Amino acid sequence: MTALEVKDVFYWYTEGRPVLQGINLSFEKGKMYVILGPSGCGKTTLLSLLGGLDVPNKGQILSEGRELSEIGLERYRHERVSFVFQNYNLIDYMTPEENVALTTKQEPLSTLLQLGLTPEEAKRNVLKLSGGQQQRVAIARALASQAPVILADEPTGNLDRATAQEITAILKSAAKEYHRCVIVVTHSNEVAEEADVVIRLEAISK
Amino acid sequence: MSVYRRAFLYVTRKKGKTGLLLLILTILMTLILMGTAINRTTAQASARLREELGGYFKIMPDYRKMSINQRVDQALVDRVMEINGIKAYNALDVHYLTVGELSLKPGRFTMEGDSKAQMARFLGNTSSELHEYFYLKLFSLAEGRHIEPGDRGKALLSKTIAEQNGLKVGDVFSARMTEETAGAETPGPDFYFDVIGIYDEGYQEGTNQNTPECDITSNFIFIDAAASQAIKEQEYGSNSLAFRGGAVFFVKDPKKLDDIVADVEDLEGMDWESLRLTANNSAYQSCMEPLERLEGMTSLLVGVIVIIGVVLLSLLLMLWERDRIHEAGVLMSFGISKWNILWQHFLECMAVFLPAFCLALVISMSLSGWIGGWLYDGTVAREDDRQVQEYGMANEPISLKALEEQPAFEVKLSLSGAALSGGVGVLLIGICVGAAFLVIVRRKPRELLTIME
Ligand SMILES: Nc1ncnc2c1ncn2[C@@H]1O[C@H](COP(=O)(O)OP(=O)(O)O)[C@@H](O)[C@H]1O
Ligand SMILES: [Mg+2]
Repeated sequence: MTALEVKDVFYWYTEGRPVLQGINLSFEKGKMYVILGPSGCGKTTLLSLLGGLDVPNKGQILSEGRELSEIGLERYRHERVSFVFQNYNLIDYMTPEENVALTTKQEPLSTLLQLGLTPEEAKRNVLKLSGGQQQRVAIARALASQAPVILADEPTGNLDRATAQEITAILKSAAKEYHRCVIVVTHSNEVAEEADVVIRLEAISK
Repeated sequence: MSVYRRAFLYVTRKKGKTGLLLLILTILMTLILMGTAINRTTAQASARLREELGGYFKIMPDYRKMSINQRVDQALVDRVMEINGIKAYNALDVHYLTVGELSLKPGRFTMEGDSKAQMARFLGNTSSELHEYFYLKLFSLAEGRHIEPGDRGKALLSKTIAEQNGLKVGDVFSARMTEETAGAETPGPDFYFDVIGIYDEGYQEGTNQNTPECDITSNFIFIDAAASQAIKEQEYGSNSLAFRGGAVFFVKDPKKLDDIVADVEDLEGMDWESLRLTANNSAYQSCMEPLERLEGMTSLLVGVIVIIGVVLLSLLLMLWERDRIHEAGVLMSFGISKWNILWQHFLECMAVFLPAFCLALVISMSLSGWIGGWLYDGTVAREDDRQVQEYGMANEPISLKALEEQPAFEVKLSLSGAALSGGVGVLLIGICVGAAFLVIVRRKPRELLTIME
């Protein structure tokens, strides 16, 4: 069963200048997808539509066969998707544990430990963690929510090569071990190499 | 994670912001609390003053005029009494009679050996209880009863005179018109009075040996309207029975005094060229004025504080809210609603507001007495050295000194005042948080996330 389906989606910020034009895609659980494309071609825009942060001007997005608006965007975001951002977007007045607790009622520590944080780090001020550790917290937060879809926008964009590889591995394990549908937007070919499916998004020529 | 936990974490972790907000809210609430406390105290003081001093108005002939075409007679009194909201009246006359058989409290004429030393002032009353001296509690009834409508030939004597002459309630004394007294060429008949009451003139006019006997308060004799009419008949003939001191009307609700006075002024057939209507005697006004000034001042002050507070608080919260746009976007990306986030921000402010309010309560409780006293000294009591003489209901001089023993002006935080201030505070915060939150409300979640990238 497809976790997420994009049917003939159009999106524009200004009338007559579409950013997305007739997009058709489908995503399954247990796989990692990578969306590649030049800067400004609409990757982030597409991801925000997939994540129910915005609605297409035309076309449909279906989550397990139901349209997002039918589920309700808020409920959809709450139950069915989780985000990982380039700049981590951790809540700065919460510890890693508390950040993870944002999305789950379950005990947050084990997820953090599984992703390689120490118990001491799990209680530290998030801003005092390295970028790689912060991104691990963000992924732990996405995993803990139990949402079937994880959306990551340039998750390794701010990280050095070695750390980027670790984070890519973690995202892949999210697809394989945690059986999630992982959709990653990136510039990086190294990330793309790890993908089950690579989607190339073209810039719309004006 | 619940919204309460999120708010709790924010308040406890962002110590700088919490501290600053605590400081601002404490100052703001202290000012509001003290302002309302002083304002309420002032309002209460003026309401009390109104009850005590202001519940009546007087209509009397305007003796400053050359010719008087209308006088205050029973017909006029009856017409005024028909107006709604007037509960009683006291019609007044003044006569000077010689009391040959009584010895008065001595003054100037005794010293000068003048026969006017035996002349007393007789104050005609419908109800002596309503005479200004009794109404304002300058005098009090010590024995017997007051003069009431329907009495004939009754009198109230001062304790001093009664004791000096061995008179008791039920005894009789006489008085007559002589050459010394108003215009009688031949000594008139004796008027006989039953002593029905003895008053305690606890308050003493600032008299000295130069005060004429008839001006000494101890020598005042209150008599009933019928006796007064009989004296007038003797003095001027039966066609001039109007009340020479006019009449004083008492309203049921002092707050409605102004409306009732307006109704009286609108009565047909009243010649306001000849008559003079005085509401709020000058004793009342001179006490009221500074209180009203203080009340107005504190109202204005509280208003200004509230406005400045709202502006300052909104600006600060807006500034902080801008820093939280991203945070709001992140929370919303996890399916938390805008309203839940707004509620969080409101709760955060409330969590700071509550201790700030308690602190403000403590501070203002210890400060408001002092501030109130200081304000009172500065505005109300400044009038202290006045030596205004009030010509009261019966044209008798009343020194304001006696009226100055108003109950102490004590600023106290009332429970309702504190609750009101607290409510205002909560409302203010609600408005400010709501206003600041507009930054977030008008954006889509996607915009919130991308706005600072
Ligand atoms: N809020 C916006 N308003 C108007 N145009 C926008 C907005 N956000 C993005 N765009 C435009 O839409 C296009 C796609 O943007 P985006 O999805 O961010 O691209 P990518 O993530 O692939 O770099 C770009 O041309 C960008 O300028
Ligand atoms: Mg992008």
